[in-house]
Amino acid sequence: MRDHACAAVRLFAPTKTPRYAPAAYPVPDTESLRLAALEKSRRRGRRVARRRVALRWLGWLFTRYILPLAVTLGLFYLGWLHFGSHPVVPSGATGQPPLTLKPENSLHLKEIP
Amino acid sequence: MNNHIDSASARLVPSDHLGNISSLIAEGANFDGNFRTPRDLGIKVDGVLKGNIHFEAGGTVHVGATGVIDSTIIEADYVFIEGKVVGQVIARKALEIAGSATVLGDVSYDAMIDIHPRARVRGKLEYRGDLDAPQQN
Repeated sequence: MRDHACAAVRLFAPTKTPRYAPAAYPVPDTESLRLAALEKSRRRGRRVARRRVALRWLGWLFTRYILPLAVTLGLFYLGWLHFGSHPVVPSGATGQPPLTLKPENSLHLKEIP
Repeated sequence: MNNHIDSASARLVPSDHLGNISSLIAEGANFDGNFRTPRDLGIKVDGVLKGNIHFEAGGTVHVGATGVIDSTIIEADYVFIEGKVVGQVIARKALEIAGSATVLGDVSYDAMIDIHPRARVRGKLEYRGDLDAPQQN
């Protein structure tokens, strides 16, 4: 009988729900959320915009100056390879004796007849 | 209240308008639909928006550097574009296209315009004001 009474008391007793401290989880208000979102968006946007503008300037610089300069230098180099460089023939390979300079052969020492 | 805006990036759109943006489509978000209001509010798009933006009076539209607006008609007093816009843009007061922007479509403005040298614009540019009126400096 007593057990039944205790069970009835427990049945109608208020349910013990876990109590959360409301101050520990404050819900941010709309204005602070808006400002935080805008600030984060501004930082991210500024970084992306600077990087994209820099890349566009670099692309323009490359196509306007660097690429023509590289092509010109390449053409000069190819021309030098084809027309400007001849193989150096050593003097011994021609069969002629190598030229030697002697002091007695100097023109200013010879008497003019 | 921190309304600090990088004023070096915006020259025509007042900083208080850019700081008082009321709606934000964040980066990574996709939004399909139209935005319409009779009030003088502001919207910033950092994500992807497919639809129209119409301010019946006033209004500031800021397309961030990561923002993409597709198949749209944008109509507001101030329009500041740093991202990509495909569609028609109508700025009743000032239009500013930054160097990181890409605009594919027709652009109309009533008073002032500023286009960065590195901006990419493909479309018709139309001044809707009075051509015979004396110029205001």
